[in-house]
Amino acid sequence: MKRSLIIAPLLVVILAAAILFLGGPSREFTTTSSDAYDLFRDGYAQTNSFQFASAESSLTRAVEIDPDFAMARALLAGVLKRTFRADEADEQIAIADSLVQSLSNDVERAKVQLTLCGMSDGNKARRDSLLAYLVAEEPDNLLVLSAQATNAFDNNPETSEAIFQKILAIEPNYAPAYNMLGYLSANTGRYAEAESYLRKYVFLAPDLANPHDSLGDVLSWVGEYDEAEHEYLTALKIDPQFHYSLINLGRLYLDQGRLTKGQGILEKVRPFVSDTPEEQRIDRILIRSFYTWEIHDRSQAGIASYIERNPEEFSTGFYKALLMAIRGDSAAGRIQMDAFMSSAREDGAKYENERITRQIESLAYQYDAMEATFRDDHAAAIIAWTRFMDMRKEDTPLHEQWWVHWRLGQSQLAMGDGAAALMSARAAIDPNPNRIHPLMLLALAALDQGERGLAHDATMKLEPLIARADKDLPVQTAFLELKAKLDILAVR
Amino acid sequence: MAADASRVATTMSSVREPVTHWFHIVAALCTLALCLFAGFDAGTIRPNDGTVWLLGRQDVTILEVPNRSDGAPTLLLPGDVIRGIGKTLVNSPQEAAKALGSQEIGAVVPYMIERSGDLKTIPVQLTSFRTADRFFLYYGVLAAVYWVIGLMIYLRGRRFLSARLFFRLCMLFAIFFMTNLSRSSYFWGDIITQNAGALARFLLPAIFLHFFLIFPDKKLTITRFPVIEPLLYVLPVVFYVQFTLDQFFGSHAPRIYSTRWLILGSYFSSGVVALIHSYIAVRDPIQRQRMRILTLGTLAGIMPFLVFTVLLGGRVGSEIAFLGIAPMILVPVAFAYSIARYRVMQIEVLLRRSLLYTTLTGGLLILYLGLVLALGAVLLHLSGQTSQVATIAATLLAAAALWPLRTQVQGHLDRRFFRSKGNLASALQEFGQDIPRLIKFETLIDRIGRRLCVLLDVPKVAVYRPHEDSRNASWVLAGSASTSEDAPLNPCPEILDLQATARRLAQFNEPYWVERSSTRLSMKSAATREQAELLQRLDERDLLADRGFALLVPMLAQDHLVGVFALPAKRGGDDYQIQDLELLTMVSGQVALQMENSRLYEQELKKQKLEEQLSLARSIQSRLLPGRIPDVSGVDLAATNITSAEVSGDYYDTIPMPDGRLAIIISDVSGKGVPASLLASSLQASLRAHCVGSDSPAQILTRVNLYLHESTDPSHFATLFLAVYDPVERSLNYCSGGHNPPILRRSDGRIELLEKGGMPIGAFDFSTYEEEKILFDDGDMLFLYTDGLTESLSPEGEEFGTERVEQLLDTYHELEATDLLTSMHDQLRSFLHRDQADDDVTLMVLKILQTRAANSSLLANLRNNTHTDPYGIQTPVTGAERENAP
Repeated sequence: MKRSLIIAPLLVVILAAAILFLGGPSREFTTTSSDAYDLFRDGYAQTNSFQFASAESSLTRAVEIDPDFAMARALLAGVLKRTFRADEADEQIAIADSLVQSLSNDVERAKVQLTLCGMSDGNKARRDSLLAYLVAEEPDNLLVLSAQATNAFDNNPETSEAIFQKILAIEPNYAPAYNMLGYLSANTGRYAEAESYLRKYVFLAPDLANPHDSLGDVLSWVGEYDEAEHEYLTALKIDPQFHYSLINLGRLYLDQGRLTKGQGILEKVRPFVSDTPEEQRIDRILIRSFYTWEIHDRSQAGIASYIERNPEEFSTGFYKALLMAIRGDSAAGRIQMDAFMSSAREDGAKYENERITRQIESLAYQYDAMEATFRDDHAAAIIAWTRFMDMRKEDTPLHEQWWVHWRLGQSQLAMGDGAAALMSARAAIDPNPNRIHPLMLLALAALDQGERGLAHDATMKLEPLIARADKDLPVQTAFLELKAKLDILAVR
Repeated sequence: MAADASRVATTMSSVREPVTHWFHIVAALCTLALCLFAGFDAGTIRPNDGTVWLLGRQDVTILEVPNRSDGAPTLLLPGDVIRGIGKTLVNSPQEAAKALGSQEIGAVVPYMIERSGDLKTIPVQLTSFRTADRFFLYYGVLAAVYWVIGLMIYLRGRRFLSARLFFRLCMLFAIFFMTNLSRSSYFWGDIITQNAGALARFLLPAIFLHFFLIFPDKKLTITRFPVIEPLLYVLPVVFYVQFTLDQFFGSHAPRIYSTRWLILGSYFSSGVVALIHSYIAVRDPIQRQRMRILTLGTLAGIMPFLVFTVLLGGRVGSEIAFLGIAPMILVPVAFAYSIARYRVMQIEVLLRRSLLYTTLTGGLLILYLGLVLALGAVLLHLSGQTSQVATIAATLLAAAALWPLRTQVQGHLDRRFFRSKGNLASALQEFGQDIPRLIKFETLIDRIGRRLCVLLDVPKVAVYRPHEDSRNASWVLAGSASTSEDAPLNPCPEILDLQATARRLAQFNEPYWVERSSTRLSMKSAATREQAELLQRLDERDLLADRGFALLVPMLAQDHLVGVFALPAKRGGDDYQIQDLELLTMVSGQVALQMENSRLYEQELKKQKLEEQLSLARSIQSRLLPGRIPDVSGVDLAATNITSAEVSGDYYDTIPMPDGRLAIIISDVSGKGVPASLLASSLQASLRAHCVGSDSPAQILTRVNLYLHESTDPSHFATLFLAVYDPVERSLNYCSGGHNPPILRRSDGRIELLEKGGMPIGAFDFSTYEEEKILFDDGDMLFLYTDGLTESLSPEGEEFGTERVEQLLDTYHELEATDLLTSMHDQLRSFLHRDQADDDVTLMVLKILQTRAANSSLLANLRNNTHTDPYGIQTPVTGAERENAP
């Protein structure tokens, strides 16, 4: 008895030590090589941090070591997709598909299939089904949760946020979750919270470009232009080819009225993203900027160029109609717009998504508003903008609503409704108090309402902002006029 | 019900004892683990950001930013909440500690802090930090010494409260030395070590005081108010609770405040006072001698601690604190020395071998564990498997493969350190078988002694037992054995004075250590009996030490001290181990029993020999006595011999002469047993021979005297009464050789004593004898006897005496001779209240019959005879009985 009392605890100690020191962690995915698995894990982390080049390298080496590593192939396909190499991606998808059948583990098979599903826009039902299965099997698996949260990001942000919070409860240092939570918070107007999340994201991955880029986005949305510029530049310092930051930096400059600089950057990045959705994004940014800063000739040129380059793209029909409206051919524009709407509704019906349906329907109001503005029919513009806002308010982040509020305010001011314009101006300023156009509107509306103090304050805020903007912008003239009015009033 | 309650209490007590014991063992192991853990924590160099925050809080709020040792400024401020360290966000102090611990020393690490609601990232240069200062190694040694000595004392003396308290004191001191409250490494284990360290600091003073209130004896205060004991711990517990709360709700790092140190210091001071009081109060000089080292050592160890550490609190630097702690090693060493040397606490502590043995055994276990892991890793690598099942299987295989090797090495260790342990069982078995077989004492001592010399590695073993003469108080050497060549040069003394020591051995029945008194006692003379006893014992002890003895082991049989094993010091100066004492105790008990058996056996042999001698003497004596009393006309003659337990030389004889006269002889030969019987036989032969050639009793006695004197030594002699009766003249011619004068009762009741004669026969060669002739009348009675009759003592110590004999003769004078003798015998038995006298009794009676009755009785007398009954009593036999006798 005495002997067994000595031997038993000793055996327990030995086994515990062995398991602790010798026993390795169990693998989530099947592979014959531990090196391949390590490379896969690296590639997964790099993918999550938008280091697609590094991710591709790691995952390629992983599948070279173990050609039957299904999940590595699936992930590699995703990376190739995101870097717009669809053919190569399809090749990997086909191989991964064939390997999936040989997987004995049902959960692993579901995970690989889910990853493959994520690369195609269709198969929503299948994706949902796989997700449901995996959530039931491994409710605390980070990969599953992450997929679930990402899946809910657009349509169910509250659910998405909850799932990301759960991920953080399991793994407090899961950096991608902070990124997503940052955007989720920003999209719901919680910019301080978003900044907090993204600062943590930066803290967790200071050597990656994406965190700085994300933080730059939020900072730019709240008008912290200098800090946002710093973050974008930091991202570019880390990864000079991180084109997202280049585009965002260009947009930042454009938002500040530094069109020359902004456009210059965007044109520099264009060759790297030609024939990709990113190029389209650049065009849209430029079009909108020129339109906002009332450089109409350039905006028209941009639209024309966009239409030429992207004849089959979804938004091309809208731009066609707009161009017609800008050129004064409202009737043709209306016809074009109706045709676009018909087509858009047809395409949108496939998604069976209310949000997408609303977005599509709102385009009609947007066109009406813009077209009315072109005609100086501010009353019609007010109505259209109001309807547009009502339709898109829930889906549009606050930092993107400013443009509508500003346009509405402009029309209201033009209609002599200074009070409404003032309200619109105030709405446009939130969350970015450093945006020139809302401040101008605020100053003018305040003047209209006799609130000289408010106008004066707005003017004071405008002064340094205007000083940074390009000198040949129409807004410079408007500002001088505003100042002159104020000076006059001050003398009086 | 009371009996049930008592049974329950006994049961509960018996259940509680092993539970309490295991609790202490677990406490010792936990203390060891904690000390090793704290040592590892303290010794590990870790990165540090120069801030102070609490592990017990929910957030990582910086409480203090002390000046950094390298003087470099830090951008961190008190009040900042640390949200991230390195590339890790932290939500708790434990996560912060972990993140901090994973950084490189010297690296500039980004810290995410929350300051006034804003998140900032601040670069912080990490420095190296270690809670252990340069004296930590010494503190580790201190802790080890306290732990080992405390545990040893507990294991040997756990039945004593003082030993248990000392154990707890040592464990707490060990924790105290290994923990540090002023510096935190933020290692996750810091919570454990700091809390344990704080608890130790708070409890130590209370246990210190408690210990000295009951050691060496319970103070009167405690005896009167036992509630004081638990109350001692109330304040320390309160302090500890406060300290714990500070960790969660305090605004700065938890510490022990100066006021608390002072209060705790008062506990220590009180303990010191109690110790000094105990020392002063001891009366017994030996006890005081034992306490001296202990007291001085404790004072020397504790006083600097009181001054530099307790009184000055946490305000001193590490050097000053070291001054206070360094001497503390004297405390456990003083206790250990006192216990080993003087058996303070009545426990045996043998440190040297146990410490080394324990260290080697522990090292072997660690080595075994390492080898198992290594072999397991090799097996795993060879198999190419990585699953946990494979890991477990490989480990079990490795453990099983290496287990026999571990067992073998451990066995070597056991045999090396505890030779006698391995041999103890076999030795005991061997002794158990041998001792009962060895009846002869000398053989027993020789064989057992030799075996003990080998087992215990001593040059000799001696056994002493009390002197056979109980009036002699010395102890004599009963036997000895040795295996040493120089043993003849150092023989064991034959006699030892061990009276006082023997009394002590008999009283306590435990081994007695012989050591010379290091100091001469101031007491010159004893004022009391106890002091006298003590002085004598001390003298005996010095004597034993001079004779080279180191250990005495009592041998008791039925609570009676029958002997003592005396052993010298072991060869090489090694100490006697507990196993040695166990062996000696068991052997001494068995040998004591065997000694008793041997003594009883010899006694039995002696008794048997005595019985044989007695039987032979009786046989000789019975042949001396005449088979029949011859018939003599005109007289009624009878004789009887009543033998005692020890056969003496009484005899009587009747020798018919050719001329019809009858010689009557009664004699009492000196001595007892066979020699007396043989002398009587020789005397009888001589008398018979001389009676034939002479009719003068005086002449006969003269010749027989000469013969006897020449043929025997002067210590052998006999009293003798020789008479010749002439039935015709009715005269008696007699001569007495120093014999009791026969009583002549005349018919009218007058008593005459026949005293004529001389000295006892055989005593002197110059003795002369006179004879006398008397004439009988009808009715006269001559009574002859030996001194066994008159000198018989009643239970009250009264002699039978001649007066009583005369009275009885007067009473029974009308009875026939045989009846008279029977009545006399009955009277003797009645007087003695027993059947046998201490000495032989021989009686003869000669009754002068009436003339007419004399003729008629002639024929009857011819037919008279005597025979001896089986019980040694000679009774007259009638003629009818004689005819019918086988």
